[in-house]
Amino acid sequence: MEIKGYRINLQQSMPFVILAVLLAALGILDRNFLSPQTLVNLLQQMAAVGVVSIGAMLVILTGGIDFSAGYGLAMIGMAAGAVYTKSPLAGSVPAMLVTFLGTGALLGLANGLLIAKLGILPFVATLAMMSLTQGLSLMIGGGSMMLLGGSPVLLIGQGKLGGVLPVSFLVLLGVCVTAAFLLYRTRLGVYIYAMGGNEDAARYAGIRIERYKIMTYVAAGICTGIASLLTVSYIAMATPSIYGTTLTDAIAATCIGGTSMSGGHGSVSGTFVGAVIIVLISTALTYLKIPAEMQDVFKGVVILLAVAFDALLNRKK
Amino acid sequence: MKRTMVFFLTAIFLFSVLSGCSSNSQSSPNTEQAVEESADTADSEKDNVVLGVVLIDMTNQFFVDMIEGGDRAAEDYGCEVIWKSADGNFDSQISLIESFIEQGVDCILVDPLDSEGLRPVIEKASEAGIPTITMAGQVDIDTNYSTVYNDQENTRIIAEMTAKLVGEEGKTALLYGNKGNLVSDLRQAGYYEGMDKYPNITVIEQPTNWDAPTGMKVTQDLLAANPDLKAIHCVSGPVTLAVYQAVKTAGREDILITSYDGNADELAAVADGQFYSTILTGAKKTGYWNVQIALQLANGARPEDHIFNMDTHLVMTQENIDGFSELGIENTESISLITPDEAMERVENYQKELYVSDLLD
Repeated sequence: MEIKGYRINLQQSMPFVILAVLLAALGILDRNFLSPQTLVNLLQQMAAVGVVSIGAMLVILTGGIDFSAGYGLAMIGMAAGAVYTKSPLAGSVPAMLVTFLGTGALLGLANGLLIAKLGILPFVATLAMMSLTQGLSLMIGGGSMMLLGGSPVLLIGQGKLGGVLPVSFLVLLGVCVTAAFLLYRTRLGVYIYAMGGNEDAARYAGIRIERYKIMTYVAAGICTGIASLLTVSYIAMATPSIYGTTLTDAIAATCIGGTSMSGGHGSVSGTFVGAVIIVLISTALTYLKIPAEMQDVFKGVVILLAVAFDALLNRKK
Repeated sequence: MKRTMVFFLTAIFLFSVLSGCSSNSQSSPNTEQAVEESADTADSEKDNVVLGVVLIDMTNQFFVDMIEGGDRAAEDYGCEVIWKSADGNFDSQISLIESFIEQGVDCILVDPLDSEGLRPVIEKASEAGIPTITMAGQVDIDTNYSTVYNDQENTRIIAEMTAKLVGEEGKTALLYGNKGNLVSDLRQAGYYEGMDKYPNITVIEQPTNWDAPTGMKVTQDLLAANPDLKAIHCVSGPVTLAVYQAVKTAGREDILITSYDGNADELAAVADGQFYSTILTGAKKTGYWNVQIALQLANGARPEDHIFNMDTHLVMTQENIDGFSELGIENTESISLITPDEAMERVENYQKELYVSDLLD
């Protein structure tokens, strides 16, 4: 028991070590880097990726994966944009918010049902859903971008409390606290870890796996919906191209954050720090004027470092 | 099991209801599929001309508008257009062209990610007797034609205009799409061609991957890292709109923003003074124009000149137009200056401008 606890602590401290090293290096290389403005930008920019990372972490903890989050983000954004600008409910912020969350939950439900009820592998099911959401994002509103200039909803993505603290970051904190509560204080949380640790054992223990799995994917879908809200209100438009690198960044953040890709191990705080690191890497390269191509190389190296450390620890055991 | 199916069908139903808001489903993958199937079975009734188009992707507003314009031309002239997206992937550009060859379409249009790399597959099309059009790129094969607009020269003039306006010194930023993309590369080359004449200007460049959130993030970072930044040029209109959001929220509206593409929202931004200028290529017009040329090729026409040049316009407010000649930029005869209102009219009237009733006679 003692040894196990020790191992997890080392594993969990890795993202913090990487972050500290990165911050120190950047601070030394460019003294302007550690300015309040950089910090505010960072908090704002990590919000959407952070929320998707939390969703990704939840499904990865169960031993699953969700590839539909990237294009899902675009599809949900287009649906909400269409409701807000082209539907009979045009101009209604509540209707728009409900569309964000509702469409996200529906997407998660579809993933969950395919995986839990039909027994399709998460990898395959969400890959299919990825393609489906990509197509739908182009169909909704004819795939045309919808501008939201002047809408109150922009306060969520662009607003800053007291002119400093980004509202979108507070949303991310809210998601983190909710996820931590679910994971550490509810039965769902216990079962999520149990499913990822050993699904058969969990099943024999009488856990209604299907039900909890569906709930997990719905939670991840809601995260995708919230992230879509944050992205759309950040750039003040809904467009099918908003998926960007969000999905891969989120999975990488989860990975760097110490979540085991085979499930069962991982934490909200680690994932949060993983998301900070991922956003920090691309920000840093702008400051240090490093060519953009290096950004992907650098990201890859950091992911490998994190995972190699994890693998080494496991081998020792 | 039954209950699952009901659930799933309900979910699909709700999704399709949501997408029912769609005002224009011409670009939908479903329609695409249907068109493709009918093209497959239409071999017997050969009188209907079928064109195959391979785009880079369909998520950028430019391509959405281009499809609309192209479909309009297809309607006007009574032909079928099959739109395919390569999702930014060069391999799938090749395989999409190959499947068009197998399908036996009458002309293939491609927006090349890399035109030289397409040479073998274009040769294959040529052997199969199918003429091809490489949009924005040139491949020197007898049955291949290029439809271009003057991206490099336009951007050269934008760069020089920017340099003059910021006093020929200081930092300016160039936000390009991504390296290896022909259009992005041409615009990037043009920007440096212009700026190289001004030794006291430092250019900072960043990729946006044609993606609005990336454009906004990069701009925020650029502003924080370079408080003395004076101007930003972004090569893609929808992204420039996000760039403006970053500039506005940072309270840096003193920064000179120039854009490229000329969609309706950008033209409004130029009129409002949010952007100093944009280039009107006219995506809908581009679509209409390309389909029109492809139709003539499909009909057997083989013009001598292998490059077709579409006219573009630099869009600025009247005030900026009036001041343009005083900037003293060399070789600007090629550029046409118009106001946002005039541009808007052109955007609306592209069909009137281009339509020729006896095109195929």
